[in-house]
Amino acid sequence: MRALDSLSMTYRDSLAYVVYYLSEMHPELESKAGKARTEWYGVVPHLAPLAFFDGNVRSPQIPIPDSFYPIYRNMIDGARAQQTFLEMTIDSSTTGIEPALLHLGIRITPTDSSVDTMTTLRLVAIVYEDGVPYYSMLRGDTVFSPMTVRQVIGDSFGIPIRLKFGQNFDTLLTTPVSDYNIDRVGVVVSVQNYLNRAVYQSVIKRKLKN
Amino acid sequence: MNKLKPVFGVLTGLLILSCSDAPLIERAANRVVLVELFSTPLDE
Repeated sequence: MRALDSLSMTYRDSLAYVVYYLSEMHPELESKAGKARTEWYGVVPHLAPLAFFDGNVRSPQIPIPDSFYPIYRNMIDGARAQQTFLEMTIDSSTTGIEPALLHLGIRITPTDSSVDTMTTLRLVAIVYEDGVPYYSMLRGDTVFSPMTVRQVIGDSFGIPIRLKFGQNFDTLLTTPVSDYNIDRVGVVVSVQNYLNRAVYQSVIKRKLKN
Repeated sequence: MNKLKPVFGVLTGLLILSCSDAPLIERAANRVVLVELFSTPLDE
Protein backbone atom coordinates (compact mmCIF):
# COMPACT_ATOMS: atom_id res chain seq x y z
CA MET A 1 0.00 0.00 0.00
CA ARG A 2 2.81 2.41 0.89
CA ALA A 3 4.54 1.46 -2.36
CA LEU A 4 1.42 2.44 -4.31
CA ASP A 5 1.08 5.68 -2.36
CA SER A 6 4.66 6.60 -3.31
CA LEU A 7 4.15 5.53 -6.91
CA SER A 8 0.96 7.55 -7.07
CA MET A 9 3.00 10.66 -6.25
CA THR A 10 5.53 9.79 -8.94
CA TYR A 11 3.08 9.01 -11.74
CA ARG A 12 0.30 11.38 -10.59
CA ASP A 13 -2.69 11.15 -12.96
CA SER A 14 -0.97 8.52 -15.14
CA LEU A 15 -1.68 6.00 -12.38
CA ALA A 16 -5.12 5.20 -11.02
CA TYR A 17 -5.09 2.83 -8.07
CA VAL A 18 -7.93 1.53 -5.95
CA VAL A 19 -8.16 -1.00 -3.13
CA TYR A 20 -10.75 -3.74 -2.65
CA TYR A 21 -10.72 -4.89 0.97
CA LEU A 22 -11.33 -8.51 1.87
CA SER A 23 -12.23 -8.61 5.52
CA GLU A 24 -14.19 -10.68 7.98
CA MET A 25 -13.44 -8.40 10.94
CA HIS A 26 -14.18 -5.10 9.18
CA PRO A 27 -17.22 -5.48 6.92
CA GLU A 28 -17.41 -1.66 6.75
CA LEU A 29 -14.41 -1.75 4.40
CA GLU A 30 -15.88 -4.28 2.00
CA SER A 31 -18.13 -3.64 -1.00
CA LYS A 32 -20.40 -5.71 -3.20
CA ALA A 33 -18.24 -4.78 -6.19
CA GLY A 34 -15.09 -5.80 -4.34
CA LYS A 35 -16.49 -9.23 -3.54
CA ALA A 36 -17.67 -9.77 -7.12
CA ARG A 37 -14.39 -8.63 -8.66
CA THR A 38 -12.37 -10.71 -6.20
CA GLU A 39 -14.14 -13.79 -7.52
CA TRP A 40 -13.92 -12.65 -11.16
CA TYR A 41 -10.15 -12.11 -10.90
CA GLY A 42 -9.74 -15.42 -9.08
CA VAL A 43 -8.18 -13.86 -6.00
CA VAL A 44 -7.82 -16.12 -2.98
CA PRO A 45 -8.05 -13.93 0.15
CA HIS A 46 -5.06 -15.50 1.90
CA LEU A 47 -2.85 -14.57 -1.07
CA ALA A 48 -3.61 -10.85 -0.58
CA PRO A 49 -2.19 -8.30 -1.10
CA LEU A 50 -2.40 -8.96 -4.79
CA ALA A 51 -2.37 -6.30 -7.50
CA PHE A 52 -3.68 -6.42 -11.06
CA PHE A 53 -2.25 -4.01 -13.61
CA ASP A 54 -4.72 -3.02 -16.34
CA GLY A 55 -6.88 -6.01 -15.55
CA ASN A 56 -4.92 -8.95 -16.82
CA VAL A 57 -1.38 -8.68 -15.49
CA ARG A 58 -1.10 -10.01 -11.97
CA SER A 59 1.69 -9.04 -9.63
CA PRO A 60 3.91 -11.84 -8.35
CA GLN A 61 3.66 -12.98 -4.74
CA ILE A 62 5.99 -10.72 -2.80
CA PRO A 63 7.35 -12.03 0.52
CA ILE A 64 9.56 -9.03 1.37
CA PRO A 65 7.68 -5.73 1.88
CA ASP A 66 10.63 -3.63 0.66
CA SER A 67 10.47 -5.25 -2.76
CA PHE A 68 6.92 -4.04 -3.52
CA TYR A 69 8.07 -0.65 -4.83
CA PRO A 70 10.53 -1.75 -7.55
CA ILE A 71 8.31 -4.62 -8.71
CA TYR A 72 5.19 -2.48 -8.92
CA ARG A 73 7.16 0.29 -10.63
CA ASN A 74 8.39 -2.12 -13.31
CA MET A 75 4.87 -3.43 -13.84
CA ILE A 76 3.44 0.08 -14.18
CA ASP A 77 6.17 1.04 -16.67
CA GLY A 78 5.41 -2.13 -18.62
CA ALA A 79 1.69 -1.36 -18.72
CA ARG A 80 2.29 2.28 -19.73
CA ALA A 81 4.43 1.14 -22.65
CA GLN A 82 1.42 -0.64 -24.20
CA GLN A 83 -0.30 1.34 -26.90
CA THR A 84 -3.93 2.18 -26.51
CA PHE A 85 -6.65 3.42 -28.81
CA LEU A 86 -8.80 5.51 -26.52
CA GLU A 87 -8.64 8.91 -24.94
CA MET A 88 -10.89 9.48 -21.97
CA THR A 89 -11.70 12.59 -19.96
CA ILE A 90 -13.96 13.44 -17.04
CA ASP A 91 -16.10 16.48 -17.79
CA SER A 92 -15.63 18.91 -14.90
CA SER A 93 -18.72 20.90 -15.81
CA THR A 94 -21.10 17.96 -15.28
CA THR A 95 -19.16 16.04 -12.62
CA GLY A 96 -19.69 16.64 -8.93
CA ILE A 97 -21.01 15.32 -5.65
CA GLU A 98 -23.88 16.30 -3.35
CA PRO A 99 -24.68 14.77 0.06
CA ALA A 100 -26.69 11.96 -1.53
CA LEU A 101 -25.82 11.91 -5.25
CA LEU A 102 -22.76 11.68 -7.45
CA HIS A 103 -22.78 12.90 -11.07
CA LEU A 104 -20.09 11.77 -13.46
CA GLY A 105 -19.67 13.08 -17.01
CA ILE A 106 -17.34 11.07 -19.25
CA ARG A 107 -16.08 11.56 -22.81
CA ILE A 108 -14.30 8.78 -24.71
CA THR A 109 -12.56 9.48 -28.01
CA PRO A 110 -11.40 6.45 -30.01
CA THR A 111 -8.10 7.18 -31.80
CA ASP A 112 -7.98 3.92 -33.74
CA SER A 113 -10.60 2.05 -35.77
CA SER A 114 -9.80 -1.32 -34.15
CA VAL A 115 -12.33 -0.33 -31.49
CA ASP A 116 -15.21 -0.60 -33.99
CA THR A 117 -15.35 -4.40 -33.84
CA MET A 118 -15.12 -4.72 -30.06
CA THR A 119 -18.46 -5.88 -28.71
CA THR A 120 -17.55 -6.75 -25.11
CA LEU A 121 -16.34 -3.39 -23.80
CA ARG A 122 -17.51 -2.16 -20.41
CA LEU A 123 -17.34 1.28 -18.86
CA VAL A 124 -16.18 0.60 -15.32
CA ALA A 125 -16.74 3.62 -13.07
CA ILE A 126 -15.25 2.91 -9.64
CA VAL A 127 -16.27 5.16 -6.75
CA TYR A 128 -13.78 5.18 -3.87
CA GLU A 129 -13.41 6.88 -0.51
CA ASP A 130 -9.90 7.83 0.52
CA GLY A 131 -9.31 7.29 4.22
CA VAL A 132 -12.11 5.14 5.61
CA PRO A 133 -11.69 4.86 9.41
CA TYR A 134 -11.69 1.51 11.19
CA TYR A 135 -10.51 0.44 14.61
CA SER A 136 -7.41 -1.73 14.51
CA MET A 137 -7.11 -4.18 17.39
CA LEU A 138 -3.45 -4.65 16.49
CA ARG A 139 -2.63 -0.96 16.85
CA GLY A 140 -5.26 -0.22 19.47
CA ASP A 141 -6.16 2.85 17.48
CA THR A 142 -8.18 4.10 14.54
CA VAL A 143 -6.57 3.47 11.15
CA PHE A 144 -7.59 5.04 7.83
CA SER A 145 -7.72 2.82 4.75
CA PRO A 146 -6.72 4.58 1.51
CA MET A 147 -8.50 4.51 -1.88
CA THR A 148 -11.20 2.16 -0.60
CA VAL A 149 -13.66 1.03 -3.26
CA ARG A 150 -17.28 1.75 -2.34
CA GLN A 151 -19.07 0.79 -5.54
CA VAL A 152 -18.83 0.26 -9.27
CA ILE A 153 -21.60 2.19 -11.01
CA GLY A 154 -24.09 -0.01 -12.84
CA ASP A 155 -23.02 -3.43 -11.70
CA SER A 156 -19.68 -4.74 -10.45
CA PHE A 157 -18.39 -5.25 -13.99
CA GLY A 158 -19.43 -1.90 -15.46
CA ILE A 159 -21.84 -0.81 -18.17
CA PRO A 160 -21.73 -2.35 -21.69
CA ILE A 161 -20.70 0.21 -24.33
CA ARG A 162 -20.01 0.28 -28.09
CA LEU A 163 -17.47 2.71 -29.50
CA LYS A 164 -16.84 3.89 -33.04
CA PHE A 165 -13.77 5.52 -34.51
CA GLY A 166 -14.51 9.09 -35.54
CA GLN A 167 -17.27 9.53 -32.96
CA ASN A 168 -17.02 10.77 -29.40
CA PHE A 169 -18.85 8.76 -26.76
CA ASP A 170 -20.41 11.00 -24.11
CA THR A 171 -22.33 9.86 -21.08
CA LEU A 172 -23.52 11.21 -17.75
CA LEU A 173 -23.82 8.73 -14.88
CA THR A 174 -25.58 9.34 -11.58
CA THR A 175 -25.43 7.18 -8.47
CA PRO A 176 -26.49 7.46 -4.79
CA VAL A 177 -23.66 7.99 -2.29
CA SER A 178 -25.36 8.05 1.08
CA ASP A 179 -23.15 7.13 4.07
CA TYR A 180 -19.99 8.30 2.28
CA ASN A 181 -17.72 11.06 3.49
CA ILE A 182 -18.18 13.15 0.35
CA ASP A 183 -15.12 15.26 1.15
CA ARG A 184 -12.98 12.21 0.41
CA VAL A 185 -14.77 10.65 -2.55
CA GLY A 186 -13.03 10.23 -5.91
CA VAL A 187 -13.58 8.18 -9.06
CA VAL A 188 -11.56 6.01 -11.40
CA VAL A 189 -13.13 5.25 -14.77
CA SER A 190 -11.82 2.53 -17.07
CA VAL A 191 -12.73 0.85 -20.33
CA GLN A 192 -12.36 -2.88 -19.84
CA ASN A 193 -12.91 -5.87 -22.09
CA TYR A 194 -15.30 -8.20 -20.26
CA LEU A 195 -14.02 -11.16 -22.27
CA ASN A 196 -10.36 -11.10 -21.22
CA ARG A 197 -10.38 -8.43 -18.45
CA ALA A 198 -7.92 -6.22 -20.38
CA VAL A 199 -8.18 -2.57 -19.42
CA TYR A 200 -7.47 -0.24 -22.35
CA GLN A 201 -7.66 3.18 -20.76
CA SER A 202 -8.42 4.83 -17.44
CA VAL A 203 -8.85 8.25 -15.92
CA ILE A 204 -8.88 9.40 -12.30
CA LYS A 205 -10.47 12.34 -10.51
CA ARG A 206 -9.16 12.33 -6.97
CA LYS A 207 -11.66 14.66 -5.36
CA LEU A 208 -15.18 15.28 -6.58
CA LYS A 209 -16.22 17.92 -4.07
CA ASN A 210 -15.14 21.45 -4.98
CA MET B 1 0.31 11.10 -69.94
CA ASN B 2 3.19 11.93 -67.58
CA LYS B 3 0.97 14.47 -65.85
CA LEU B 4 -1.58 11.78 -65.10
CA LYS B 5 0.93 9.38 -63.46
CA PRO B 6 0.85 11.05 -59.98
CA VAL B 7 -2.93 11.06 -60.09
CA PHE B 8 -3.01 7.31 -60.80
CA GLY B 9 -0.47 6.80 -58.02
CA VAL B 10 -2.63 8.60 -55.46
CA LEU B 11 -5.78 6.79 -56.61
CA THR B 12 -4.03 3.40 -56.33
CA GLY B 13 -2.80 4.30 -52.84
CA LEU B 14 -6.28 5.28 -51.72
CA LEU B 15 -7.72 2.06 -53.17
CA ILE B 16 -5.15 -0.05 -51.27
CA LEU B 17 -5.89 1.82 -48.05
CA SER B 18 -9.64 1.39 -48.38
CA CYS B 19 -9.32 -2.35 -49.03
CA SER B 20 -6.89 -2.95 -46.16
CA ASP B 21 -8.00 -4.57 -42.90
CA ALA B 22 -5.39 -2.60 -40.97
CA PRO B 23 -6.91 -0.21 -38.42
CA LEU B 24 -6.92 3.48 -39.14
CA ILE B 25 -4.80 5.17 -36.52
CA GLU B 26 -5.28 8.85 -35.99
CA ARG B 27 -2.85 9.18 -33.06
CA ALA B 28 -1.51 7.18 -30.15
CA ALA B 29 -3.24 7.97 -26.86
CA ASN B 30 -1.35 8.40 -23.58
CA ARG B 31 -2.09 5.52 -21.31
CA VAL B 32 -3.23 5.78 -17.71
CA VAL B 33 -2.61 2.54 -15.81
CA LEU B 34 -5.30 1.04 -13.58
CA VAL B 35 -3.99 -0.83 -10.53
CA GLU B 36 -6.58 -2.83 -8.62
CA LEU B 37 -5.20 -3.97 -5.28
CA PHE B 38 -6.92 -6.74 -3.34
CA SER B 39 -5.92 -6.43 0.28
CA THR B 40 -6.83 -7.21 3.86
CA PRO B 41 -6.87 -4.70 6.72
CA LEU B 42 -4.03 -4.48 9.21
CA ASP B 43 -5.54 -6.93 11.69
CA GLU B 44 -6.05 -9.85 9.31
